[in-house]
Amino acid sequence: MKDSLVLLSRILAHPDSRCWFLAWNPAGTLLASCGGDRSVRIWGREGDSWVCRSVLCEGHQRTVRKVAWSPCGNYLASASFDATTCIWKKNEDDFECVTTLEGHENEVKSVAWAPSGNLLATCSRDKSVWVWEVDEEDEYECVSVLNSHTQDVKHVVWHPSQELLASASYDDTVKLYREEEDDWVCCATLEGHESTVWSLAFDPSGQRLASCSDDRTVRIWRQYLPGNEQGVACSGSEASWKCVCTLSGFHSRTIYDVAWCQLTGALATACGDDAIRVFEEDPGSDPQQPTFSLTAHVPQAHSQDVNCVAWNPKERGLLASCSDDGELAFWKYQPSEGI
Amino acid sequence: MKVDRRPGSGVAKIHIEDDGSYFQVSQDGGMKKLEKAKISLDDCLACSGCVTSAETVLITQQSHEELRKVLGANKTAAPDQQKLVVISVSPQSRASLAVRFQLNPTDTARKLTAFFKKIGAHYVFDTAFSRNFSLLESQREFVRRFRGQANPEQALPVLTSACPGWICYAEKTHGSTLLPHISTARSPQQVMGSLVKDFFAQQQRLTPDKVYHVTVMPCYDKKLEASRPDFFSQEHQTRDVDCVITTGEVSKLLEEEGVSLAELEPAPLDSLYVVTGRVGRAVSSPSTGCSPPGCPKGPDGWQKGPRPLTQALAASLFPRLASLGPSCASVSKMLELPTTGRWSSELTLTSHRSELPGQVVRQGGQSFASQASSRHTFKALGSMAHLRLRKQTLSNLRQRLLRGLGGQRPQHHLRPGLFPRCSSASAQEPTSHRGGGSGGYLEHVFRHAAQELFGIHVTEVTYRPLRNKDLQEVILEREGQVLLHFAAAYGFRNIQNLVQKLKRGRCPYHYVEVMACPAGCLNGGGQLKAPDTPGKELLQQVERLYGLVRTEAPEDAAGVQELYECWLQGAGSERAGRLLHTSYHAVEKAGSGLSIRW
Repeated sequence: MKDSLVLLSRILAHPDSRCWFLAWNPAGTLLASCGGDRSVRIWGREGDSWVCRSVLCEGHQRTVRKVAWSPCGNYLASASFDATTCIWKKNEDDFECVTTLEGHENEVKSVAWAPSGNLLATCSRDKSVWVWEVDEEDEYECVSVLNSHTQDVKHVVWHPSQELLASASYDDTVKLYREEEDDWVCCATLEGHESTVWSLAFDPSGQRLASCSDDRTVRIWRQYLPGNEQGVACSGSEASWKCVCTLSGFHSRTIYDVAWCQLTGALATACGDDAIRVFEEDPGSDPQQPTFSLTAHVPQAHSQDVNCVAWNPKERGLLASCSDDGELAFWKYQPSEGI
Repeated sequence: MKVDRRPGSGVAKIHIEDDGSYFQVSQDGGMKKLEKAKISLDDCLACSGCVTSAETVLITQQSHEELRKVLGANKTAAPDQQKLVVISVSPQSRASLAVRFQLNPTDTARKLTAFFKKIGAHYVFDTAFSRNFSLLESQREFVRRFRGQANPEQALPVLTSACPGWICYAEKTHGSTLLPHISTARSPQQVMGSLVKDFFAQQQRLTPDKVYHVTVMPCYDKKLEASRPDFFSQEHQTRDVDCVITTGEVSKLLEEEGVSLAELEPAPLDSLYVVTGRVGRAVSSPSTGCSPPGCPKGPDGWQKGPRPLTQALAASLFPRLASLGPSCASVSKMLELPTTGRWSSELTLTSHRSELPGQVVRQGGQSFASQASSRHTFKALGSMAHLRLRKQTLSNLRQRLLRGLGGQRPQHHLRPGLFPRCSSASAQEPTSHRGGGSGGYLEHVFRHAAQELFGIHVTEVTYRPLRNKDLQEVILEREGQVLLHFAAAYGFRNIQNLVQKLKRGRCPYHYVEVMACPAGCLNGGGQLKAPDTPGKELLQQVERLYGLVRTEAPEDAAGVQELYECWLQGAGSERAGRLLHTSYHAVEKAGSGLSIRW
């Protein structure tokens, strides 16, 4: 297991500061990182190493907490503690801030693009989730302000193929939203975690959602549509989500991030105990009661809390991670045969 | 900071005394005074979540419990400590109650009047009346601003001001950018505040602090509006609106009294202003079975026949005339009005309010002339009468006096003589305005502007929905050119987009009706909910009942022109500016904890 996740290289991405988040572009050729130094950096591969191609430092007044690439790869959104979200347009190696989304009352914690590319979601410590629509002229308008959570909202993520939005919060719940008539509504609340839910990731099919929490567990939730074979109750025409697996006992501290590889189905976690772990679903496990096994564990992946893990969308087994120590690391995941 | 925790189940109930001390109320009703916790700077996380912020405190200070306290105190207070209780009901709250109790708007209004008087109120008014002023002022203001005749800082678009949720947000979040655009016209609640505490109080010969003014509103933000320093009279140390209760709180009051609104006997409606033979007076019809002291009853319980004009009365109504020398008899002769030499206590129309046994507010009737505070109103009338006397022939003057000052075509049947019978003088049906359940600002300003600015008479206003049903626009076009582009933006998301457009200089509208609640005031946070009816359906029912009330143009509403003339001394006067308009104040953003230098 020790050899399953191998360090490729380490970079001090955000010196004297935390590196908060990483995002691969859809082509898998660029990695965006953001940090407490208020900057966003774009990394590209040159041979075997990664070099900084651009530094976007004029956009924000405070920490940049998350970055997200648009599905077309031409735009990058950055969410900041200064309560704004910048939209950057890529022009070769240059990025230009084309718009700043304002409206949240305080720190914006996350930003995510919908697969269609027309919608953007942001969430904030002000407990709200906002859905924005972008038109052909790159004009952004707020479509909905959702106030379902009762506490700080930490993360938002879109379903890989449907216009379904998920959010994670300090109120220990995960909420799902969809469009109804001319507004967005909360269509499901997933309860079960015993503490702050920090991050979310959909599996490649979109049928399952992974959540990670301060309660040191990862939960896997499965969607059940009305009239499902398994007889899971649904309210009216609304889909139901049930927790089908809980990974507990593996992490000794808060789990800050979870990433589900769209190529291989492997699940990576970023933990407050400075470690990175990878899980895989056991072959032949019951879809209604899946089991996962730990296939990789690097105890001192970083010298401080690991904040983010991100699978490269095109290159199998390439994983990036970042930490409070300001470093960015690249790993190769190669599970040994016959686990 | 050490916290002394006591284990226990359930949530503690906290009661705040008038002196600001906190008591914990246990389940058996026992009260225990709570120690003040002291927080030092060390404890502060600078999290901007402070519950000590005034808003929560302000809201809890106004409630139906507060009203009960005041009504209770009134019952036992000495006459000179008692307050005149006036309740102004919003048409939106009335519509919500109408749906709950399955009544039509008129019955709802009458039964509400009966209920409030039953629990101790003296007058019950409808804020649709004060809304006339809000609409007229809004109309005038827009035309001035469009023509560029107003303060050069006040550019277009004009944004409405009636919604306090919107105003609080604008002041807190976007200060200097938005405030210059906001209409200065007061909301119907606050115009009613001016009407009740200035006009009506004077009429009743009371100082404003002796009148306790309650409004019934569809939301909680109206409580914040009433607490604004701009609506507090330093001179009299009293608010224009003392207490705002929501529709939900009225429902609680009804429950506490064990009364269903439907079961009550309807009472006649009160009018704040009625066009009378001489001069307008607030008229209150008593609830069944009661009549004021000293009032000889006719078959319908009221004094019949014209009132005698006494020297004292003539002198007070026409001080200038009186000073010119004519005696009472001469004045009467001039005006061909009946006189007697006897001073009659029935002259005090204002004592004709319903006084339930044991709830005497003032002792006896008091003459007009003996109250210094009455001079102000009468002086105005007196000088006007004086001017008219100069300009007009006496017969014309008599006609005008009989019809009411202002020379408008009277809206109600008028008997010749000085004072009408109360029951025939007040309108017994509520009236409303076109343009939706949030007041109709867009509709009225649009139609007025089309006429005033372009000479175009618009009969039907066409609303075009945009990205969602809470965002609509209205366009006035002529020969392919857009003359007026108005919008209605309800709900936070639409407000956000409007503000962003404004900030970027990309707002295409001349006027926007802004409301914080999706679907507007009929859907306010204080409206009644029905456990068995889904929200959407309930709202439709409330909208329908709201729409059943007959609408009229604000300039045509009875009493409005008269009040402009005799109370405000003309539209556009200094008084009108002071009593019908207000101003806004940007709230300085407190720096985040990180930027504060400790």
